[in-house]
Amino acid sequence: MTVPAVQFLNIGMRFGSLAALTNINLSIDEGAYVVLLGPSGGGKTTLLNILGGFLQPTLGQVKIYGNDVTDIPAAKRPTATVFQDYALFPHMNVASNVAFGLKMRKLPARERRERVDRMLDMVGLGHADDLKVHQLSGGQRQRIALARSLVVKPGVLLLDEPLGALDMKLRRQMQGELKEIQARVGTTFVHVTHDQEEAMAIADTIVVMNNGSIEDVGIPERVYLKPGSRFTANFMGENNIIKGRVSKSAGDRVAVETGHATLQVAGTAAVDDRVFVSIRPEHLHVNPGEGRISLAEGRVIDSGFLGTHRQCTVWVESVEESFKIRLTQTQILAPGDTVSLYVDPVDAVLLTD
Amino acid sequence: MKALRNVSAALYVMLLYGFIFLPVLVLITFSFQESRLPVPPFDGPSFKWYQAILHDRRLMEALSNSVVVALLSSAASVVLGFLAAFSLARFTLPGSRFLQGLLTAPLTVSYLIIAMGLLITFNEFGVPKSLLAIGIGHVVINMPLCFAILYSQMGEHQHNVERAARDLGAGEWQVIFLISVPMLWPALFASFFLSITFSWDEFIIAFMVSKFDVTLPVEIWSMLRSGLNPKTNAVGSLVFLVSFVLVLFLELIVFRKSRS
Repeated sequence: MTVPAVQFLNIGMRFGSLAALTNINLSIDEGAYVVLLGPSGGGKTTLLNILGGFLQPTLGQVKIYGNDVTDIPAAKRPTATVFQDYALFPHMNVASNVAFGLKMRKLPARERRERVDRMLDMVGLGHADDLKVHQLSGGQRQRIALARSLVVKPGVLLLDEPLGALDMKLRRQMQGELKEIQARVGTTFVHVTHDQEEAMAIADTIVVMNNGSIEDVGIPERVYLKPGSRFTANFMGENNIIKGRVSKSAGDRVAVETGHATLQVAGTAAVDDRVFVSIRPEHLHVNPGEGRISLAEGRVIDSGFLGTHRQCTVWVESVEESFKIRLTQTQILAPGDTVSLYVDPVDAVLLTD
Repeated sequence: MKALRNVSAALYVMLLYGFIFLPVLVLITFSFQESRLPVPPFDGPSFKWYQAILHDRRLMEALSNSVVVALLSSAASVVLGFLAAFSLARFTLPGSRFLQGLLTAPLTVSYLIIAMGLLITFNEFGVPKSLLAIGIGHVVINMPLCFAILYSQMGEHQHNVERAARDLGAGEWQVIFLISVPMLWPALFASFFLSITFSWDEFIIAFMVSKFDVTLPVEIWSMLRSGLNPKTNAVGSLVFLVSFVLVLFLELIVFRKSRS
């Protein structure tokens, strides 16, 4: 049994009367790319600052590779941080920026030079060592910040919204590069973001945080397809959340009466429990098919073409609820059209909280 | 109509600058006077009064005293101001807003009141009237200014950069000398040169807490007591020239740099 790279044990954090984190327990495996995902104010940056040693938790313990680091300052922790505003040293050139951590560790000049060169080559800026920080573009600054942190070979690399300041296209490109670099160096990465697409694109494990607690932990597919809580179901992409009541419960399957239809879904709940069922827009269909059951009938009130697909909103009069559905590019529905909605119960997710 | 507006605007600007600079122009012009009285008509130009001040031993002594006091008191003001600004900007201290107010308060007190306070205090503690006393007085008036300038430059971004240095293993002294000071150098230079300018022509404090060794403004004052002559004009022009060069230097080197 190997020791986890990071362990949070019962972490609690208060700022005055405000509880920023409550009872956080999380274990991160060595070499994993973990993304802390959540809305702003959810506590993810606070948790990252506690791991980096910039904040002292009010309660609990932080362990890195089994060693208790709760009382150890940032300078002495085996962590390095890539800051949101990059926090590069504006009065130094690129090479001195990257060499700073090695200088603090008193590495001989020759070895320092070699490691800096190798790191600059890895982030694709081998030719830029003489440039000043203000001569670099946003994407280049991001890479230098990454190189400056990675060159000291940290046990855990922390990234605080590292792509937040970049435009969409560059951001998607940098996601790929981050993932690639992480695979190459094998360091454990802990990355904070509020962008769920970014999280799904790069994470091995997504940790969904809200209101200072962990809502869900899992691989991206699981967190997206079988969200563990109503918050996660809503936060990760678009979703339809339907209220229902459990009418039958047998083993790990329950029947949920939703007012439109009775859905047989996986999960456990007691008869008569008030529950929710989530169905992704792409899992709602306008024609019957293998395994699909009829869910409801409604009227299209809104329709838009989004490039890869069409998105419609369907108003179901009988229950006074609207559903978002996703159609292919060639399925054309206009506002006012009447449609029947079908779903394969396998795609429906039971949410009990 | 438009022409009239332009003419009146130009006239207004000329009057404004004339109001500010005419006395200085008159001072400089009559420092080149040939005869013994610095009043019209102008009968120069002559450099004999400049020659006279260069051979005036007391005046030259006062000049070098002024330079020493200005350099040392400004250096002390910048160091103390930096340390105060750094601690108040980076750490949450009990009553830090109160401390901040207390530090900048001397900016609002007149030099006369400060001079009287210093005189009484020095008397009480047996500090003799001396150049050292003048220097301490100039730190009292300049340190709040240095603090205010430096504090305003220690923003959140710089804080983050310092955190990054700490994160990479830098100790507190290394953070200060390798990161904070180099990042702040335009502000440090600006506060240093402003302090020199203020110390250079400060009169009231220097007059009240000095006795035998005096600074240049005090020496000029005692020269003026024996009436106007072109020699005082020449010294005045020299003082003005030094202040002017300092401000020009500040403008060209420091502020230009910090804007780019």
